[in-house]
Amino acid sequence: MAVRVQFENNNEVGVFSKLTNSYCMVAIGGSENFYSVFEAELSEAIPVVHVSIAGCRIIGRMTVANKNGLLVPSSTTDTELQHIRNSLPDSVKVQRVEERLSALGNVIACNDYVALVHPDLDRDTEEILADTLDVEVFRQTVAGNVLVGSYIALSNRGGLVHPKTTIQDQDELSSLLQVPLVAGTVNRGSEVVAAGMVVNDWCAFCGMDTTSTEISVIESVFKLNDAKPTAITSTMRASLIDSMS
Amino acid sequence: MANKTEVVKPHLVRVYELDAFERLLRGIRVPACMITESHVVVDEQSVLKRLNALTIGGPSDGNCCSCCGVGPFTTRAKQTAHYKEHWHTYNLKRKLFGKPALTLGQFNSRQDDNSSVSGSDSEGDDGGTNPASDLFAAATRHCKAFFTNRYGQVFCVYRCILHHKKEELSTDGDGQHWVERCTRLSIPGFQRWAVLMVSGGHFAGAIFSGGIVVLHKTHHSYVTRRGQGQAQANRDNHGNAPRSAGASLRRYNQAQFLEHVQEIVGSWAEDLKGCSCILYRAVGSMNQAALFGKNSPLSRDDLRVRALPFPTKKPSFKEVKRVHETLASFEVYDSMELFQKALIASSTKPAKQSGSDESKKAQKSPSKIINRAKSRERPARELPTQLISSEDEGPCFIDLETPLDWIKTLSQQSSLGILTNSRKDLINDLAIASSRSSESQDDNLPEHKEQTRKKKNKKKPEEVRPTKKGQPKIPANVQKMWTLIDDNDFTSLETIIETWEGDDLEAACNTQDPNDGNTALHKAAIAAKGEMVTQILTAGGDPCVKNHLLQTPYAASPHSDIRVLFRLFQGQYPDKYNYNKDDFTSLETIIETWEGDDLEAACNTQDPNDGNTALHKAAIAAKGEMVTQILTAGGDPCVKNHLLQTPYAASPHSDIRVLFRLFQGQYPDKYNYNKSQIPGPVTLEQLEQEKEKKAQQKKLKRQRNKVKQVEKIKTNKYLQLTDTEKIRLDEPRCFLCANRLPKPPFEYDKFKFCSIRCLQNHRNVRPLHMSA
Repeated sequence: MAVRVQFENNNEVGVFSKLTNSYCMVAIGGSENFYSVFEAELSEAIPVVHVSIAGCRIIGRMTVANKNGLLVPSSTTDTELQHIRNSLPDSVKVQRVEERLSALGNVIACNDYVALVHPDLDRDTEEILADTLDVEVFRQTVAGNVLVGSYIALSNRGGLVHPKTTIQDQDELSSLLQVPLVAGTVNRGSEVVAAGMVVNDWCAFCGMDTTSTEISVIESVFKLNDAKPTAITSTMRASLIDSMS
Repeated sequence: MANKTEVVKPHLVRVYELDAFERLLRGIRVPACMITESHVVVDEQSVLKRLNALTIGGPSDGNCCSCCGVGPFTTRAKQTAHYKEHWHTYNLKRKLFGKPALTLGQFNSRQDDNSSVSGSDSEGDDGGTNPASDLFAAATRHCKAFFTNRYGQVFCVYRCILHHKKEELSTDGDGQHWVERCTRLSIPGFQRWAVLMVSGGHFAGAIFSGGIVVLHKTHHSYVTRRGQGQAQANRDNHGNAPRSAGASLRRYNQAQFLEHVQEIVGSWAEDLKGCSCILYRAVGSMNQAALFGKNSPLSRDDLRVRALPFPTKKPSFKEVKRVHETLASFEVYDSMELFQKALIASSTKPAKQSGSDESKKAQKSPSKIINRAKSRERPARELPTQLISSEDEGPCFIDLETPLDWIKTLSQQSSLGILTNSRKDLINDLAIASSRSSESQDDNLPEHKEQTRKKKNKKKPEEVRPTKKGQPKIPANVQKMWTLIDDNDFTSLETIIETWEGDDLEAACNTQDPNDGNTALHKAAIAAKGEMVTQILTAGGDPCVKNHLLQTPYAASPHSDIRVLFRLFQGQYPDKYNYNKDDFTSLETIIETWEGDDLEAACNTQDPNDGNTALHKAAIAAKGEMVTQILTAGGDPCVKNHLLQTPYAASPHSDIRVLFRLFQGQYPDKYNYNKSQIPGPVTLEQLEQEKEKKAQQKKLKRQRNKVKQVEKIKTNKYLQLTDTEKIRLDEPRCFLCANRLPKPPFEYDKFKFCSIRCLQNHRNVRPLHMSA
């Protein structure tokens, strides 16, 4: 199901958190409200950890992650990296990358199998990405925008793209990513969908401003309503077993 | 220039010239270049319908790439492979710049001109730019909004007059919001604007109603440090606040200024309420605080409060009036064509303009600001060495990433008259300019001549030293022999050899030139003097000696006739030398016996697996001799492999890298080294100097370490002493941590310490009865 949440009066929850099928990271904030919403929703299945990147709270935009691994930008300090390594499950590979486009979350969109990246991303980074996150990497734009990480919210079951993406482009991307995509918005019309929400295979968090229509679109495209116990035992078994092992 | 005269200046219509403005607004519309396609309204039903319609992996029409115009793909593998091709990435970028996609054939033929795909460079492409999308890009990014009316006129006004940055007016559909905002301006109530400017101790504000000033006030205070050119507060915030009388005066003034401005703005609260838009300029936290500080009637959240979109001069009443007039005027173009020309010209102009501005500034600045507090800078005299150093760094070229300040120095040079070329020419043929500059500088500025000569004199001893020290002295007769080889005086060489005195003839033949490592045999071979080669070989010139490029005489000889001579000699005297060490075999023979003219092409053929050429392979395998051979045979050092490395970049050893640089030094014109990533030519002398420098640095470091070590031992000894012994010694060290004592030291009883902390610690540890 999709949950509305706010980070210190800010609706861009995708900026301050990162959610995957095997762990969840949230920014260190002034109050624990934000953290406790995630904790309440997720703590039975996956660890929820406090993280900062280069002393900043915009972890969602700086990092790229899936259940297999985590890439952090070169500005991450050694202590932060050590903390991340200590708190994430052992199976998660954590890697620091030297990349000119340092807001990795903005330039890379990925689920557990595929990743779309900014056309200018370094070849070395692309290789590291493929190795660490165990994904197939494609260079593509979304609605004429190079910041694919900002304009696609992606899970293994579906994806939400920039509202101005044409039907043709949506079809192409769906075919490329092998997941159903629809164009839509979050936070009462915000087009930066990935900044406005975080999602994994059974749960989504979006900004407090998100309308009920937007919520229902999100729930249907990410198939969050199916994520009931029966579905968990049948269709989602793989990702859950991965995360629990 | 011709372009400039074509651009028609728009005529201006002010908002408060009511009649003209009314006429302008008739039939107002938003032009096409401001409007985007209306976007999909997302509702649940349509989404569900779409989701149901989607059949992933099935024969859907999404199974293609519309960007490159290929597909549908037959298999998933083909599809994923396509998205990983350079071609696809390249087309993506073209699409972003509004250019049409290339077909695979076009792309491949493009690739030949060595353009890199992964970089983000957008080269000026002549093929098919899209004027409509250009216009759209220019218009949507412009700080003005555009409108047309029923007379076909196009007019524009600053966006800040129409809306706040945060309230995004939708550009969908017919742009109704824009039209509404614009027509609203004709109502007198919406012509009441306030303009407030604060900067560097100057405040100027005015409230206008139409064209009339209702209220205005200026206030000035002495808050900036003229010498440093910054406000007092900036200096104070950096820690070491100055304590002079002048500084405290300014500090006081700063506080007063803040208070005054807040007071003025506060007293205008009622008038500001009636304004439809409040425009301000306040850069920096101090100035912002003056406007938005405590009890201010202005708030940043207020949508009427907007920042000025263009740079302004020092706040004064005159400037405020100018700003208001600029904001209030609509630029009117009589037709769409004129407007388009002007807009595109203006959107391409800034780069050039800024360049000329900078050069102007560079000209002006020395005469304008004379800072008597500082010793004067003399940039002109340092230029020659700068230029020479840039020459040392190798062939220069300008690309997009060339730092701006470098261009600045260039324009400075041109403005100083050192370079007669215009800046554009400079960029075009920089290599020539840099060499020419040193000459012309000598001609134009005679007073600098002496200075440079002095410098040269100073440098000379340093240059001479290494040759004396590091390299063997060349006997005079050997020198003579070399000159004879160069002069082609065959008979005299023979007589020299025959009449040689002493038994060091062989040694003389094998003496290497310190500059390039060539022996007499090398020189003869390079100069293609066949007779001499045989002469020297018979006299004892060893064909296994290698020069600094690691070439044997055989490898160094450019002519096949000469090479044949070597082999004939080997046949005649098979035992005279150990020929195995030289490279008569394998690669050399391949190159030697190459048939046809495609040797060069063969050298540059790339391995399909990794894109390596022969040169790459030789460089990676660290085969120095081969590298030089291939370079001589025509292996281009600019070819990149699949990792985008040039051979130079691919070579793992510094020795190999030095070879590339030596080669460039020796044959500066053989290749275009610009793209080879070779950092520049080098001569052996320079290498020697570098080595010496490094050795010296190492020595210094060792000395420093030694001193540190001694100091450490001393400290340890000192720390082991008892307090009474320390008192007796009376060294200026802290009793607790052995640091140097400050003056005066912190002390109690007779113990001295470097800090309060040490003192406290010492005291706490001491038994009570003693410290009491």
